[in-house]
Order: sequence, then structure tokens, then C-alpha cells
Amino acid sequence: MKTRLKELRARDGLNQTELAKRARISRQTVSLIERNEYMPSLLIALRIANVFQEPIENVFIFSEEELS
Amino acid sequence: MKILMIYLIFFVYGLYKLFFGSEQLLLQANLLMISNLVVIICLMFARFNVHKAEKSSVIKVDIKVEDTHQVSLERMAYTALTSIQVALSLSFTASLVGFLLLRDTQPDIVLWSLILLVVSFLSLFPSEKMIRITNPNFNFPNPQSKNYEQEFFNQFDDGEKYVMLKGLYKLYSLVTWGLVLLAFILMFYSAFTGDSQLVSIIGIGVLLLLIQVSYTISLKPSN
Repeated sequence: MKTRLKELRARDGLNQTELAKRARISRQTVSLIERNEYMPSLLIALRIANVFQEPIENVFIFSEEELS
Repeated sequence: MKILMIYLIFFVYGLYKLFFGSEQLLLQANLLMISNLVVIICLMFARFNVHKAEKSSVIKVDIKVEDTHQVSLERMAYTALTSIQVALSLSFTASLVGFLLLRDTQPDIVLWSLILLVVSFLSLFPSEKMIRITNPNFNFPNPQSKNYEQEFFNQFDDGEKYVMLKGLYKLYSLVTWGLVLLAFILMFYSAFTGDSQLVSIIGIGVLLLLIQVSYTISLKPSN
């Protein structure tokens, strides 16, 4: 899974702490997701997507292999 | 900064007692004194990191380096916590050993270890400022609550729990193998020196039983 978190944060001018605050998660979790060390739960993924006002699949990108 | 100065005074006094004290100290007393001094160094280092983190947290930084700045603050906070934990473990061991060996000959040094144990334990409780640095959204549950531990645990989100789980799983293996190794060492020690360690070996066995059984029970599917 790839994430566009860094790119979307840069677009919206958010740092990790601010994104964490808006998504009601910890900064550590944002950092783990960005580094691809942790796959978030559906709830956290939805909250993050909502912060960026993007559909979830535009934020978290799965390869064909992972989905099949 | 005041606390740091108090630690420094105690440290200098300890050094003076160790090297220039009027009475000749026993080897065990010297070792206990050194251990007390190391505990003070750990507490001073922790206090220094807390002070540094608190000072750095009010500095305004450029948006490009905000994340790096935040990470460095968290690293300072966790370095402080690690130092306090080292101080706590050392002072705990020193207090017990000191009580066993030196309670009659050097009660002042044992008392010092006990005081350091209490100070280390109290230092574990994080200040409000530090929590705001490491976990800005963290809300402490009501201390009167019956489910305090559960409510405290629930304050961590899934990512933090995942990191905790990884750490605890490593710790589980380390503790299990550590206890097994220790039991063997004690068995050989008992056999070759005639100094019975039976109670310790039985204690280790009970601990191993509890750790293994409670872990397996937690994995068992519920009805």
C-alpha cells in the first residue's frame, strides 16, 4: 500500500501534528502511516481521507496484487 | 532548573563522601555509593532533557521543519523517560541489596538509596507540559475511576497500540528466555557453591508459569 499523505499534507499546508489533531489520532500514527510501517484501520483511514476531502482510494493506493 | 541544582548538590556531596569521607567504607558500601551516584546522574540527565524539551517546545519554527522539530522534542521526552526508568531499576536493586548487606553498618547509604528510589518513582509521573509535547490529544482519565487502567489504555490510538504491541512482544520473548537462563545459572550456582537458591528458582518457575499461561489464555478464542 502506498499513501499520498505527505503530498496531500504539503498541498493543504498541514504538518503531522495538525493532521493528527484534525483526524483525532496521534502524530506518531501519522508518521507510521507515512513511512508505510503501519496500515491504518478503516476508521482512521476514513478520518484522514475526510481531512483532505478526498475519497479514501485517492489517499491510500493499493496495488493490483494486494487487491486480488 | 531548581530540581537540577538539588540533584547536583546531592551528587557533589556523594562524590565527597565516596572519596574524602572520614570513615573507610566497605567494598559493598562503596559499590552502593557508586550506584547511588549513577542514579543521580540518570535523574539529572532526565531533568536536563525535560528542561530542554520544555524550552524547545515554545520556540516557533518554520513550517518546513515543524515535523522534524516535533520528532526531536518527542525524542528528548522519551530519552528523559528512559533515564528515569534506569534510575528506578538501579535504585530499586540498590535499596534491596543495601538493606540486606549494609543495614547495620551503613544505614545512611541504604536510606539514601531508598530516598532515590522514591524520587525516581515520583519522577515517572510525567508533567502536564511533557504530555502536551508527546501526546497533545492525550486526556488523563479521572484518577478516581474504577476502570482507570482501561480508560488510560483507551487513550492511545491504533497506531500507538501497534507500536506498544511490537515492543511488548519482543519484551515477552526477552523476559521468558531471560528467566529460563537465570534459573539455570542459579541452579549451577547452588550446585557448585552449596549456597541454596531454591526459593529464587521456585519464584522464577512461578513467574514463568504465570507469563506463559496468561499469554496463551489471552490468545485463546472466546466462546
